[in-house]
Amino acid sequence: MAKVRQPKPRRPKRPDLLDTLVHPTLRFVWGLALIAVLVLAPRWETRAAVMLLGAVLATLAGKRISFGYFLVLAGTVVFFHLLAPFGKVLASPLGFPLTEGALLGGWKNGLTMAGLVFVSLGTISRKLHLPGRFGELWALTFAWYERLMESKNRIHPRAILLSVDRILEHHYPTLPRDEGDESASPLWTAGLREPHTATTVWGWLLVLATILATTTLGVLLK
Amino acid sequence: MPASSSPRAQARLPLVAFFGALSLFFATLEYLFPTPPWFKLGLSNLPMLIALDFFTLPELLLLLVLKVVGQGIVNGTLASQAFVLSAAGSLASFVVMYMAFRLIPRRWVSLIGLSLAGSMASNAVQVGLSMAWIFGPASGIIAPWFLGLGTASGLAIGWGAETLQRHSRWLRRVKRGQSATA
Amino acid sequence: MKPFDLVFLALSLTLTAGTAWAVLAPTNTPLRLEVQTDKALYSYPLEVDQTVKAEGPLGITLVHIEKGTIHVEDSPCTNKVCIAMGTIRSSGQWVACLPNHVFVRITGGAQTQDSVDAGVF
Repeated sequence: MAKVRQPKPRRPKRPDLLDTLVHPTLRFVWGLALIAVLVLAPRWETRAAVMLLGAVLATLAGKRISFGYFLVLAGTVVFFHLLAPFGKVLASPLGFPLTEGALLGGWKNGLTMAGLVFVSLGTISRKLHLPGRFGELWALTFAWYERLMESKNRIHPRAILLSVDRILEHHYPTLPRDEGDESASPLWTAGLREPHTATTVWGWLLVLATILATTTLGVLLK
Repeated sequence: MPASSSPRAQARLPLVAFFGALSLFFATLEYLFPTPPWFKLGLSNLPMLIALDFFTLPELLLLLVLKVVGQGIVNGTLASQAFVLSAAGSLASFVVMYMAFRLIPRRWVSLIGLSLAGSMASNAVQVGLSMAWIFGPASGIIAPWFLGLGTASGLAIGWGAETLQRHSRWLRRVKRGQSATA
Repeated sequence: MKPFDLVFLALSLTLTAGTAWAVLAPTNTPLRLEVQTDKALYSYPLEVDQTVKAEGPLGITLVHIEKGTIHVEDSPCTNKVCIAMGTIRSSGQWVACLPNHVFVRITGGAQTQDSVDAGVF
């Protein structure tokens, strides 16, 4: 007899603190500005600063940032850079040259990549509104996605396809047959865009201060 | 944006959105399977495979954009290299799957074959891009691992899509709804 | 499984095996520039054009990599033999600036045995 697996207790969703401070659109622009600093900064120290800032922002946004992820990512990038020697040979264990240029280049690249991921995690809000008809379609997609996610616990690892099919059957809305068809799911048409708060004074301060600080650092550390 | 604005095409747009949501949902189901962190099974490709039968080319392209942009927003990777890699992989995979779907009669190919072709295209493009752009040429050593695991996951996902297509009660409802509005 | 499923499966497996072979088989390593000075050994790929500054007791010898070829562009020595030695492009070839203790050579490629060892100078 197979043991019936209990559904995992749901991890409490951590709130997105930045959502209460900064409007999603401004937040997106904020992220782009930080990314510009990250990518354009000539020194790795500046990039490390932006990367750390990104990690803080992502944490504030309720995302789980693991130091291990950063280490694995940076380590992988450094490793692959070392395979292509460049510059001064620091040591040659087993006859393979470990070079300074490759080490530095890999480190800088690894920091940049981790920075991109962290800044992105911190500044892209799920409530980000995309413009136009595509934006409306996306809002609809996202609304359904959230619905489906609510049923995630009903998935049985031993019968994934079957349980997913039941969930879909449960959620699949009835199409409107005619104009004003009452039986149609309201999700087909309803106002889908979640309201969100405007940027507060603290939000503006946070955005401007971080952009100013990182840019200054980038210019000073030429 | 598809230019089609006939009432029928309008009515089908929400269905595209539902498939988009389904792709995102499947993408999050990857946590059910233990995989190395740098490798994605590509579960979000499963709804795409099923969708080939349902939608016109513009609708499919719209679904592709919803899937790619949606994953970027939901996972918050929209502005990182990870996003560019996954977008390029998804696009390559779609192009190959769609062409195989149109060119090869259905009695000669099942969703398993289409899935394998898509997975191969996606992984080849992602390895190529990461060699050229992120990890340097030396990272070519991961190519066989990527392609090997991709073959396995391509088989599994194709099998899953084929099974759903044959037995899904949900899909039967979708098809009924489609013919009712047509 | 339908016929083209098998075709795509075979293609996938071939591609996997092919890349595995390409990665694991002992093939020609790409050509590299090695610059030996008194203080350190430097190593660069030949594909990237750049100027390498090699520091010796007399000053800085400029080694230029251009389109897969190498020549000494400038050197603080008096006889300038290294500049006169011209351009090298294949594995085993070398240029030396003896007064400034800079030894430049190309390694890698199909050739396995080194015709000149760095220890010679």
